[in-house]
Amino acid sequence: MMHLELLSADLHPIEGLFLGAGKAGVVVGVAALILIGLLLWMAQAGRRLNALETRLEAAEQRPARANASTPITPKRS
Amino acid sequence: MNHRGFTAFGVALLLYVFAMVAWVPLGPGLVEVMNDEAGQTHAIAHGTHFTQSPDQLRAFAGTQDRLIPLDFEVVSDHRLLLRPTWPDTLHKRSLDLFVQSPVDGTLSLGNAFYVESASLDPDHRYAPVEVLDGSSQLGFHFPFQPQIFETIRNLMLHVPMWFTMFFLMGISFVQSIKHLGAKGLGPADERAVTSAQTGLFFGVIGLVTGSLWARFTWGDWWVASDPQLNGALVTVLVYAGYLVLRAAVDDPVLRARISAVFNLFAFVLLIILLMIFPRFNESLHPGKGGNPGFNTYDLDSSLRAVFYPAVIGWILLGMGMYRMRLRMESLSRRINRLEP
Repeated sequence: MMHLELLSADLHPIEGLFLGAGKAGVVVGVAALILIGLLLWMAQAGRRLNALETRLEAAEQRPARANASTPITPKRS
Repeated sequence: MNHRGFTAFGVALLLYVFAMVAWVPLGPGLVEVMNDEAGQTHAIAHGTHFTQSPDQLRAFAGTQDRLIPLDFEVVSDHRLLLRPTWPDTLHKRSLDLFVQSPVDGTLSLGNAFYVESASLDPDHRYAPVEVLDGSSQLGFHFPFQPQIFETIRNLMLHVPMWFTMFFLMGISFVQSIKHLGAKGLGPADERAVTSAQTGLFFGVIGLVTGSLWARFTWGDWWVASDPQLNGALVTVLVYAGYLVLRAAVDDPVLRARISAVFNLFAFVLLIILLMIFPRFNESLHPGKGGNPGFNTYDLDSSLRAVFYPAVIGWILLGMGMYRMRLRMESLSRRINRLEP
């Protein structure tokens, strides 16, 4: 693709990379942006979801433990 | 179905989409005719196979009904060295280039030549030429588009971002209506905001990827005169405003009611700015303002075989993300009830 090489002669090297091979670099760039965005979102959401589930588990066990540790007093006859 | 189910189905479809985007070849096409420093004329092509059958190649200049055979030499798979000899009289000064190959079929490039040396007679006819069958022997491939080239694959990546945003904003709109019709603070408000937040994520990704695509197709990061681009930006800003509005009101009941009303207007604005307004104005986007959509070119339906699964896959993934956020909200609520 000589014409594209000529076009990219005055551009920044990164821009030249995007124009190479019939602009295939643009597809890679778009896919990379989407995947990076999704990965960041998923990583953050996954961490938060795990933290919430752990907190909920702890919160649900607390009253049970509190009940279990309540001293049993003998009934007075 | 919970968030894992939506995400799993979405990811499965998107794996197919990414595989097709990566492996389906682009169809052949003529890119340009250019003169080098020595004054020789070259026809540059993309995705062609000129060296596979050089003896059966034919090149013509002219228009579809009036053709002038061209002498040429095959330089490589993607390049022909043309040696045009123009007749004394032409029917038109601006001529198209046609290259016929048994492998690639008939390729054309509009206004490839402008010939000043010949005299002009619009009724002039040339000697009849023998043309080949125009069909190609190539397998499944994406259609070649001038200027777009390989970036036509972005149709499966960038465009579904907006479909997913539309879908999620639609859910948000319906939930806001439900909230306004209900009494008190029900689950609809939470669903409306969660859906809008997830939709906004896809909107921002759509803007960023669209800007990158525009830079290398239209030559600028942002084409300020394009109504579709500006409409998309305004829509994203309006939904960002929706979230800011919610953050600014402390009373949860008042916040839910005001933001639900805002959301109704935001969705109507989205429809007007992205679906109606660009159709009545000149736009670089396909299918807007007299600019034909991809369907017009997509005669072999190869794009549809990937594009529709892509739209469904991204929407399912968006639904998975929305349900995941809802689950987070539900967990937070339960924790708040349990913790003092």
